[in-house]
Amino acid sequence: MNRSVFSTISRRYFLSECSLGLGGMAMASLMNADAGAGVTAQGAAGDKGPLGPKPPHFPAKAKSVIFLFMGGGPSQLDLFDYKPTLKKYEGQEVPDSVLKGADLPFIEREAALMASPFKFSRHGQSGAELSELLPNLAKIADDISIVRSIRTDAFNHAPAQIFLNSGSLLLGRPSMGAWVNYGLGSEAEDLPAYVVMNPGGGPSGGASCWTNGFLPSAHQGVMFRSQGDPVLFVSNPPGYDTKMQRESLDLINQLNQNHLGALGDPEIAGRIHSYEMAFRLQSSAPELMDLSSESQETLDLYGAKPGQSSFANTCLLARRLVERGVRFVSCILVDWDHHSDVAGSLKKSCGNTDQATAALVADLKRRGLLDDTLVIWGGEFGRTPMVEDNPALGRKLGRDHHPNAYSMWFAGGGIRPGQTIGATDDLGYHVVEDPVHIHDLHATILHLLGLDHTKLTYRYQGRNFRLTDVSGNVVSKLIA
Amino acid sequence: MSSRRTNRFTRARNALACAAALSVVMCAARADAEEPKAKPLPAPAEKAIDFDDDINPIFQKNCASCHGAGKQESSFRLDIEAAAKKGGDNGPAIVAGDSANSALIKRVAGADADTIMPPADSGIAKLSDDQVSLLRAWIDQGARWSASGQAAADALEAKRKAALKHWAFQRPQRPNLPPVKAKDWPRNAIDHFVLARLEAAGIPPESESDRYALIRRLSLDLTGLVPTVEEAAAFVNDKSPDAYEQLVERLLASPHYGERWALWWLDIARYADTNGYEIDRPRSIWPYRDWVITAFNANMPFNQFAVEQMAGDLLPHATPQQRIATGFHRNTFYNEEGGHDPEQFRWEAIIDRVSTTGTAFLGLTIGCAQCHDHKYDPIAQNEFYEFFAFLNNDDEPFVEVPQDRIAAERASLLAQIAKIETDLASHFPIDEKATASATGASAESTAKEPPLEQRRAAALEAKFEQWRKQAAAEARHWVVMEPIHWTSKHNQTLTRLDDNSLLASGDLPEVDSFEIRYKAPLTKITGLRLEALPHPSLPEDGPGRGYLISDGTFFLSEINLAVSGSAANATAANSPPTNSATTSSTATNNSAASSAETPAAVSPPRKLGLTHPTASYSHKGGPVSNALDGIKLTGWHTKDGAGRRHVAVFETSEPIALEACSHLSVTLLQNLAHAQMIGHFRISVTEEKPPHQASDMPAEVESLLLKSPEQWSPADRSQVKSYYLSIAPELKQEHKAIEALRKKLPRQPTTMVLEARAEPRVSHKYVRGDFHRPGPEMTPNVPRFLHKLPDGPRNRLSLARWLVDDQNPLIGRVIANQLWQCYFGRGLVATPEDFGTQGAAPTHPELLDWLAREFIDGGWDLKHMHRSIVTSAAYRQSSSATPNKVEVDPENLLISRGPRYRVHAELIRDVALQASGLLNPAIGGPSVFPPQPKGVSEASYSKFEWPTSNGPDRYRRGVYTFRKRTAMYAAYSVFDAPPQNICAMKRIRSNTPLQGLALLNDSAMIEAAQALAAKVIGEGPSDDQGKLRLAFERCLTRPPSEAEATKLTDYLAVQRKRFESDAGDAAKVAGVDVKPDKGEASKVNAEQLAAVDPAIVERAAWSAVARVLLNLDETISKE
Repeated sequence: MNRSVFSTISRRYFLSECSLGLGGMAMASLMNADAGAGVTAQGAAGDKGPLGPKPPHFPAKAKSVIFLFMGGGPSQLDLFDYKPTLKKYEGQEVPDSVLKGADLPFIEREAALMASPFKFSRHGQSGAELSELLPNLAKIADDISIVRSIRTDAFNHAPAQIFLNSGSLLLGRPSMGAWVNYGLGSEAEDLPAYVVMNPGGGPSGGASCWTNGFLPSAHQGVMFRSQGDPVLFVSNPPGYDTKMQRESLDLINQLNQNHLGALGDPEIAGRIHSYEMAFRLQSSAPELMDLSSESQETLDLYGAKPGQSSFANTCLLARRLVERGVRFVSCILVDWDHHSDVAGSLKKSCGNTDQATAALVADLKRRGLLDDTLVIWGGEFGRTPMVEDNPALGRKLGRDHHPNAYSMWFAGGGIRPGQTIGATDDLGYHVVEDPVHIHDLHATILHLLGLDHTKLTYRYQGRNFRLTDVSGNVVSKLIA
Repeated sequence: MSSRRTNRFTRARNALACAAALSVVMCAARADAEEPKAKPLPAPAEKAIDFDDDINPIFQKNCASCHGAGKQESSFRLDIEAAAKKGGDNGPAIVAGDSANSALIKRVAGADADTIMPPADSGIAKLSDDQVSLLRAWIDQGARWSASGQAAADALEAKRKAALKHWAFQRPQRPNLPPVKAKDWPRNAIDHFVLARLEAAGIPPESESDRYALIRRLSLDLTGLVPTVEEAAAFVNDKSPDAYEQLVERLLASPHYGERWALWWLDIARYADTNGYEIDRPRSIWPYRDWVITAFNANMPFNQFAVEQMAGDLLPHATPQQRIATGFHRNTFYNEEGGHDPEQFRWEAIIDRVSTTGTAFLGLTIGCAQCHDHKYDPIAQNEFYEFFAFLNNDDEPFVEVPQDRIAAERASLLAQIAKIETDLASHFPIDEKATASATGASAESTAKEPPLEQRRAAALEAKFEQWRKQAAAEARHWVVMEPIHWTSKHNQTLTRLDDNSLLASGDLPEVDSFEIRYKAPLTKITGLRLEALPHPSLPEDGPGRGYLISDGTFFLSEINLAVSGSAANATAANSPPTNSATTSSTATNNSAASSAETPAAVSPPRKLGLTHPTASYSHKGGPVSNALDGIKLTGWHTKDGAGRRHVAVFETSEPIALEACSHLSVTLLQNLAHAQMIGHFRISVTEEKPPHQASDMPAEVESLLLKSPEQWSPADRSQVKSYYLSIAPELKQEHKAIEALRKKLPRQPTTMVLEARAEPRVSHKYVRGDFHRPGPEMTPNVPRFLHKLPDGPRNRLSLARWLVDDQNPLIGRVIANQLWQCYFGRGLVATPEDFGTQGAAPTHPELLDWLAREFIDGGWDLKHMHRSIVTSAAYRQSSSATPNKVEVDPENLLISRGPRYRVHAELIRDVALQASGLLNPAIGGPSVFPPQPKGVSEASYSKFEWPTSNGPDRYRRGVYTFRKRTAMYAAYSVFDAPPQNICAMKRIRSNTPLQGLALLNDSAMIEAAQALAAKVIGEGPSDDQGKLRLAFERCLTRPPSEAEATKLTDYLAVQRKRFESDAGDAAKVAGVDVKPDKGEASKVNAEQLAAVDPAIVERAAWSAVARVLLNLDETISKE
C-alpha cells in the first residue's frame, strides 16, 4: 500500500476509518457526501461514518435485535389470548355496540363469533397461558413476555406491514432496522449490520419492510437469500477463482490509489476500502450460511438441516448473525394469513415454527447471548373473533384481519420475562388494559437499545423524521 | 344456500337476542346505554381536551346540520365561538367552567326525553357517554374553541410577517456583477460570483481541466454517456478557439440529452412502472416518461413544461401529448389489496400531489401542513387543504396512445373479419332435403336442378324462416326506460347516453350500489331486462369496469326492483298490495346529474318480487340466479365475457299494475371486493305475457322480429339476416375463424392521465390530517404569503399558471438550484426541497438570484441555462483536490475546484454498455428488463417474474429499466437510486461494499467486460499496448499513464498464462460458452472450445483486463 497517498487526506477523516466494521471504513467518506448534501444526522452521536459504532443515548440493555416477523397476521385468539366467552356465544352475532365506529370494509358485520378449537393451559412459574399449538414455546414460557394488547392502524397487509416495520402507512420511510443502524452503527466485522431473511417468500410490504428509505443506502437491510447467492453478487463470476479475484482486486486498488494520489479525492479512498470489504464479505457470507459446522445437537434443537431452506435454518442463522455482531436480523415468514380453515392452517404453521422459535431463545440463552439480544415475535395485525366465511372467495372457518387488538411476545434484551401484559375484552375485540400501539412498540425497542425515540431523528424534505413520527411511549412494564 | 343457513358460523340471524345476552359479558368494556332514566351525568373525561381532536368532530357529526353555518335552529350555532357562547332562543347553552350547569350537557345527556339533542326523530344517534364526558371536560376546562385559536392565529401572523423578510420569499432581482481581481479568469457572469467568493476567502481557483477530462465531464453531464475514442481525439486535437463551445452545442443537440435530463426529472416525478403496495402490478405510463425525454430534447420552455404536466388536459384544444404530460401526477401509487377503501388511497394520492407540487415547483414543505399549521413557514393547515382543493377534482383514466404499427395491424385483422362476415351467406351449406321442401320441388325433378348458388340461397332462406318463426315467438316487446334520477353509492360518475343507457366513469371503488329511478313507461309490467353493454371507454371495451381486475367483466350481487309514485300504488294485477318495503337508500353521494323532478314528491318505494332469472351468458361460478338469492356475496358473474353485450331477464312474481306517475327504482348491488362493476347498462320492461327469456339477440333485431317480415324494409331484413348468419349453427367454422381473429386484435398501449371532472368534488379540511375526520369544506386557493392567484376560474390550470408566474419568488431559484446541483453535486442551497425558513442558506445568494433571473427572463430556456453553466470557468476547473483545498474547502462549497463524484446508478450501466459497445441507443418505448439475479423481483410479494429482455432490449439505457416499486432493479438499489415512491429532489451518494460486489460480479458487468474484450481484439491494433490503450480510452476517455499501462499489461500477462493452462476457466471468463441466462455450459464443452480455439485464451485475458477497467473509480465517476 502506498501510505503516502493517505497523508493528503485530513487526519480526522483517516482516524475515523480505523476500527470500523464492514462498510464502516468504506462508508467513512459518506460523511462528507452527506454533509455536502446538507443532511444533518441529529441524534446520531459521533462523527464517524454512518456504520461506525456509535454510542447510544443512554446505557443499552440490548445490543442486537432478532425480529421474527410473522407476516400475514397470526391468530392471537388461537395462540395467546384465550377467550372462553367465545365458546359460550359461538355462532352468534357480534353486538353493534362492539363494532360501532369501526371502519373495516373486510369485516362482515353479521359474521358470527367463533371460539378457538384449541386447548389452552398455563405454563412455567409465570403461568403463561398458551395454546396447545405451542408446546415448545410453553417450555420456555418463563423466558418470554407476552403482550396481548398490541394495536395497529392498518387492516390491509401491505400498509400494516410497512407500518409495523417503519412506523408509517406510506411507502418510503426507513425501516426500524435501518433506524437502529443509523443510530448505533455496526459491530459486525465482515457482515452487513442489518440482515433480512425470508425463507417462505416476500411479504406484502415488499422491500419497504427493510428499506433504508431516505437514510443512506448503507442502512438498508441486506437480504440473505436461501437460494442463489446468499448475498446478491457475492459469488465470483464463472471462471474467476479466489486467487484471480484477489489479483483483480489488487490491481483495481492499485490503480485507484494512483488516481487518489493524483487527484486527492477522499471518495477514492472510500472506494478502495469498500472493495476490500466486499472481498471479505465474499468469504464471510458463505461461511455464515454454512450450517455444517454446527453440532448435531444444535441442529436437532432447531430442527435445522444444512443446505435446506427452512424457517428452522433461518432461526439458527439468526443466532449465528448476532453472534458475529450483526445488529438487526429480520426473519420474515409470510405464512399466517388464515382467511380459511384457521385451525388447520395454524396447526401447520405452528408445526413448522414452534420448535425452531423456542430453540432460538433457548440457544441464545445457553450461549449467554439472550441478555443482550432482543427477540420479538409477531405479525402486522391479529385476527377477528368472528368467522370468515365467503363462498365467492372459497373461504370458510377462517378469521379475518384484526388491527384493534392482538398479541406479540418478547424475549431477552433487557425485557422482564415471565409476564403477560395487557388484556382484551371478553370477545378479544378491543384492548381494555395497557394498550400498546405500534409506535409504543418502536419506542420500546429503541429504548432497550439505548436510544431515545424522540431524539433519533433525521432531517429530510425539510423536517426531522422519527421512527415513531409524533407518538410513542416506552412500555415500562415490559422492561426489566 | 340452505346449507349456508344451517351452518352455525355463517350468519347469526337472531341479532337482538344475542346482543342482549352479550351485553352482560361486555359490560366491563362499556357503559350500559340501555337505561337512560334517572341516570347521573357521565363524569367529565380526565384528560386535556383538544377542541380539534375531541370536540369539533362531535359537533360536526351530530350538531352541525342544525346548528352550523348553514342552518341555525333556535338561533343557536356551534361553529362560531362567540355565537355559541351567547346561546340561542333558549338562552345560554354553555357555562364555561361548569359543565354540570350547562344546558348543552343536559340536553345531549338526554335527561329529558323532550329536550334531548340530537332530537330522537333526527335520525342522528344519541351521543355516547364517552362523548358526553368529553364535552363536559371541555366545558370544565373553559370551553375554548380551537386549539389553533387565537394563539395559532397569532403565530401564523408572526410567521407571515417574518416571511416578508425571508430571502427566498422575495422576488429575485438581477444582481450586479461583483468586482473581481483576476479579471481574466471569468468567462461569464457566473464566474464573477464564484471568483468574488474565492478571492474573499483567499483561495485561488483551479486551472482548467485537460481536454480529455473536459469532454468526459461534459458528455456525462449533458448526455449521460462517455465520449467515443474518436470524439475525444477530435476534441483534443481541435485547434479552433471555440472548440469547447462547439462541443457543448453538439451535445445539447444530441437526442441522448433528453434521456440524461429525464433521469433528473423522473426522480422528482416519482416515476415507476408499477402501482405499489402489496399487489404492485405493472402499469403502463411509459408514454409519460417519453414525453419528458421529448420535451427536453425539444427544449420546451420550462414554464410550458410545468403547465402541461400540471394541467395539460385543461389547455385550450389540448393535444394528446399535453394530456400524456398530466401523467406527472398519476405517478402516485395505489393500493389494490382487497377490502380496503380505494377512496382513502385516492385521497392519499392527492395529499402526495399537494406535497410534490410544493416540493418540485416551490421548494416548500407544504406537506408539513397536512396535520397542523406549518411549524416554521407561514402555511396554515387550512391553506394545505385549499391547495388540496385544486387537485381534488379529477378523474384518473387510462387513455390509449395510438401507435401506427398497432393501428395497421388492427385494421388488417378487422378487414379479414369483415371479409368473412360478408361471405357468410356464400358459405351456407346446402341441405338437399331442406332445399327441396323450400322450393317445393320433388326429388325426382333433378333434371331441372337450379344452379348451386341458387340452391344455397334457398337453403339459407329455408333455415332462416324456420329460425325466424321460433325467434319471433320468443321475442318480447321491451320498452327501454328513461332514467330520471340515479346515484352511485361510491362516487362513480354515471352519465345518461342517448339510448337511455347509463355509462360509468370516474372513480373506481371496489364495491358499489347503483340506484336508478325511472318513470314507468307502461301501466303494467311482467318482466324486466337488464342489458350490460360494451363501450370503448371501458377496459377491454366493457361492459364491466373494476378497480383491481379490469378485464371488462362484472359481478352483480343483487338486483332489486321497487315502485313508488304519487299515489303509492303498485298493485299486483290480481292481488292486494304487497307490503315488503325496502329500506331506503343510504347513498352518501348523489354524484349523478338528476332531472328536475324532486324526490320529495315521491312516496316511499315498495319492493317488487322478481323471479325466473335467465341470462344470455354467465360464468359457471356465477349464474344469474345469484342476483336474486338475497346473499350479497354471490352474484351474476360474466367472467371471460369481455367485449360483449350480456342480457339478464327477470319476470315479476306477478303482473304489476302501475298508475300514471309511478316510478320504478332499480338497485344494482355490486358488493364483492376484488370484483367488478357494470360499466354501461340500460333497463327495459315489458307487459307481455311471460315467460320471458334472455337472449343475446340485439334489441333492434328483437323488435324487428315482432313485426311480420312483410313490414320489414330491405335494411331491416338485412339486419335480421346478418344476425342470423352470426349465430346459425351451420356456420360454426366461420364463427370460430372470426373469434380467432378477434382474439388476435392487438390493443393500443395506454397511459395514465388526469382528466378534470365536469362537477368538481367537494373538498374538506381534515382534522389532524386524518382521512377519517373530514372537517369544514374548502375551496381552492394558494398560500396567502405568496403572490396572489389572478382572478378567474380556480382550477388546476390556474394553479399551474400561478406556479410559473413571474411574480413567484421561488420557482426560478428552485429550478436553477436543481440544475446547479446536477452539475456540482450540491445545490447552492443544500436543501433543494426546502427553501423555507428552515432551509439551508445559499452559499452564493447573488449567483442563485442571477441564475433564477437568467432562467426566467431568458424564457425559461433550459438549454440556455446548461450552456451558461458548462461554459463557465468555474465548471471547467480541474477537479484535482490539493491537500490544502481539502482542508479549507472540504465540501467544495466555494467551487474552488471542478466537480467530481460517482455518477447515478443508471449511468453506471450506461457507461459500461457504451464502453463495451453493447449499448442499444434506441430512444423511448415500453420499459425493458435487463438481466438481474433471479429472485430479486420474484422475492416481492407479487412474485413478479422478471421477464428478462433478450435481443436488443437487453442493452438499452438505464432510464428504460423497468421500475418496480416493491423490488428495485438490484444494481440500482445498491447505487442509491431513490425509492420511486416520493418526490426526490436529490440523490444520496453512498459508497458501500455491496457496490463493489455489484461491479465486480454482476453478470451484466461481466457481459460488458467480455464484449469490451471482443471489441479491442477485433478492432484494436495488433500489439498489446495498442489494444490496452483502446480499452482504457473506451472506459476512461484519457490514455493510460505509463505506470498504469505497465500494471495492466503485467496483469494481462499473468492472466494469459493462467488461461493457457486452464482452458475451461478461459472459456467461462471469455463468455464463449455462456449463453445469456442459460448458466454455464458443461465443463467438457468449455474445455473443448478452448482447446480448439486459442483465441479464447486471448478473449479471456482481455475480459479480465476489461473487468478491471470497468471497476475503476474513475470509470464510474465524473471528474
